[in-house]
Amino acid sequence: MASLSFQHVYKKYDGGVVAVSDFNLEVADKEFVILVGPSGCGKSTTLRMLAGLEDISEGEIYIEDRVINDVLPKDRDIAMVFQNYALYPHMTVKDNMAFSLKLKKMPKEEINRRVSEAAKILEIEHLLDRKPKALSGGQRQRVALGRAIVRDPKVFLMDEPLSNLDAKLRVQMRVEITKLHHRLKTTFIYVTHDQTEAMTMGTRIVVMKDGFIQQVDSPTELYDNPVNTFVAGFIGMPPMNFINATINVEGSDVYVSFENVTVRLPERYAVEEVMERDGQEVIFGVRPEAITDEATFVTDHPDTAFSADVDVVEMLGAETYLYVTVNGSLPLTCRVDPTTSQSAVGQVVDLAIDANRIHLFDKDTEQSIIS
Amino acid sequence: MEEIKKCMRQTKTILKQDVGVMDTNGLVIASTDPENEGRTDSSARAVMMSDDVFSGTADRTYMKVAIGEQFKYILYIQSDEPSARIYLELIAEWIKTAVKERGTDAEKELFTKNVLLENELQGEIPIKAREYKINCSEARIVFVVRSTREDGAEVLEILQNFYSDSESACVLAMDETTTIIVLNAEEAIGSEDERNIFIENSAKSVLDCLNNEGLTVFIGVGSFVSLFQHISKSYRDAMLALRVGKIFEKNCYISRYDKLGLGRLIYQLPATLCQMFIDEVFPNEAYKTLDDDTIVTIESFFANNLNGSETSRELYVHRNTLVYRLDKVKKNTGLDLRSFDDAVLFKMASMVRTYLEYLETSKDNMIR
Repeated sequence: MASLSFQHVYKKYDGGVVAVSDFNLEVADKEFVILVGPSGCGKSTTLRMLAGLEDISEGEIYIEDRVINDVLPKDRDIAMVFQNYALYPHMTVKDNMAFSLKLKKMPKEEINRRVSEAAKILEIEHLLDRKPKALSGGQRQRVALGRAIVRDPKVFLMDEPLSNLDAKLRVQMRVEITKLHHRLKTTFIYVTHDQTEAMTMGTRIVVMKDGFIQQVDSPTELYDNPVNTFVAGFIGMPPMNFINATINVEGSDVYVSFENVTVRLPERYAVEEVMERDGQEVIFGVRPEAITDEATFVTDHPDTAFSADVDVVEMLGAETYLYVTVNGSLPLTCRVDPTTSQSAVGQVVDLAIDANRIHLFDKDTEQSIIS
Repeated sequence: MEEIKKCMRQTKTILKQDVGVMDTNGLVIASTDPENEGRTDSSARAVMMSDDVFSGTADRTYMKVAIGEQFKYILYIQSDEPSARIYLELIAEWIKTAVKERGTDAEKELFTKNVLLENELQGEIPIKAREYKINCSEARIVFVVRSTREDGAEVLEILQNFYSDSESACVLAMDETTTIIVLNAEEAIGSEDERNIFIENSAKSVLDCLNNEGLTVFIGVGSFVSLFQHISKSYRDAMLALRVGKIFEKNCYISRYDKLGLGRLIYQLPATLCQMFIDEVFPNEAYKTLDDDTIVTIESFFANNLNGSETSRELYVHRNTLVYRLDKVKKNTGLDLRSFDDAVLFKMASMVRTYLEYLETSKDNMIR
């Protein structure tokens, strides 16, 4: 168990490539922090710097109160789990789990104790005598986790550990890892490019892009209050709709207009940051679930209602996605309730936006206008 | 020693009596009860003096074991039953076989090393290979794993365990920082895609396996060869990949011989020719006038396929700032990076310069 601190950490490669820029993060003891972002955003590099597998170009990383920049990876008291299980194919599960402890010349009794304890936690006691070939993908992943657990590390580092699994197993292992975190009560740092994994597992999420931290927040905060269009678009599936719109202020009322549609914003938007943009273009963000075709809602909210042509209807069981076009040029995605939606392809449908759940971003900086 | 300990560990699962192996001075080197290891048995001297192969005390039976012509070990069993002698004889045979196999493994390893280093006559390789039960006509590929001096022994031990099945790979230490994996690649002899997947998966597995134990390594991947006699070529290619990768792709942990690109070409060029090229492209060391920000901008501009909008977005700079920086490059070097020809020239010259810097550093290291 340990807290972590990244202070102005940079990773610069020869030739000028900067993989990680001014990375600052405080991780509390027992936290489950997720680093998420698209490929090449620097999340794995950050994790590898923490593991000691990459040099730190600038800045300092602390585990508890100790600077670990120059500490050998073996002495950092961390354990890593990779996408590739890297199990020893000719060893049994038990030997696989015990191997790193044998390398450390740990007494046999202690090794046995740790292996059986980890096997019990992961519920793989019945697999201990099997070899990796005789295990399923999920079981192999558990063994890889077991190898990390037996080290009894202060921090667990996981680099896309579920990427090799099929979709169904990934969901199952997601739950297992979350449970494991509760059971072990240790600090977890988890890297993924999958925003669903990030949202469902982490207590806090660090969204990265091009080596920079974009936002660090709880899953709910990230979803409800993204600081810029990148975070807003990256978190959430289907992604947020971004519309070029114009702000119009009439007295104390604020409107946004796009494609002959005018939406009146709630009172909380009547603030200086918005009012001063009268007549200016902004990026108007609406999540698909904030656009509905429910008749009562549309009737009750004439201020935000508009019509659109339905291009595609995707029925997913618990929800339906409508892909619509406004005025023949603006494509939007809506997530509607299949039990009430009557929309069909080719129809003109009446829709309304839930104005309490909209976002406004600056057109140039792409940062959220209201913090 | 390890093979004798292994015999003892297996004996423990068969016999319920304490059995052990001592050297001729009575030091227990392996035992079914590990606590006895390191202890000395004072009866050893008397056992060695005895003319008989077997001797005994009140509760122990001893047997002298010869490897070749000489008595090398003393076996003991905690029993004076008549069956004790039979057990000892069986265990002695077992140990002799294990020791002999170990000897053969060492010879096989030495032979493979000699083939890699081209110290064997080509014509003799298939004949000797047959002796060591090596199938010459299987496709193979060589990986060179480079670690720090301190980690070398651990890297070898881990990889020997990772590839403990001698059919799939042969792992050997070339020196204290270099471990070689001669990997059987029969499963990858199909299409180009299959080869790529095989290389990527195998190299990534090795890297992750070692990273998992907190070891940082660089891996050079050689070319596929279809005959055992040609593994020296694959070894040479892997070494070249490692060297070229280290110069041009410093942040890359796996360098493949078949993916070296321009780096391979530049690496073959003589230093004088490289210097002439640099003097031509960057007269008066114009490159040195570019500051860090400009170099980062150029790298990003190249990475984004000379796309200004993407580059300015990635660098969080205004497009005009980017234009200003590119204009500065043009003014200082005479190369307009927005033009494809100039961009290619700049890219090549940068790589040549990196190579010259590497040569300079290696020369300095040699002098030191």
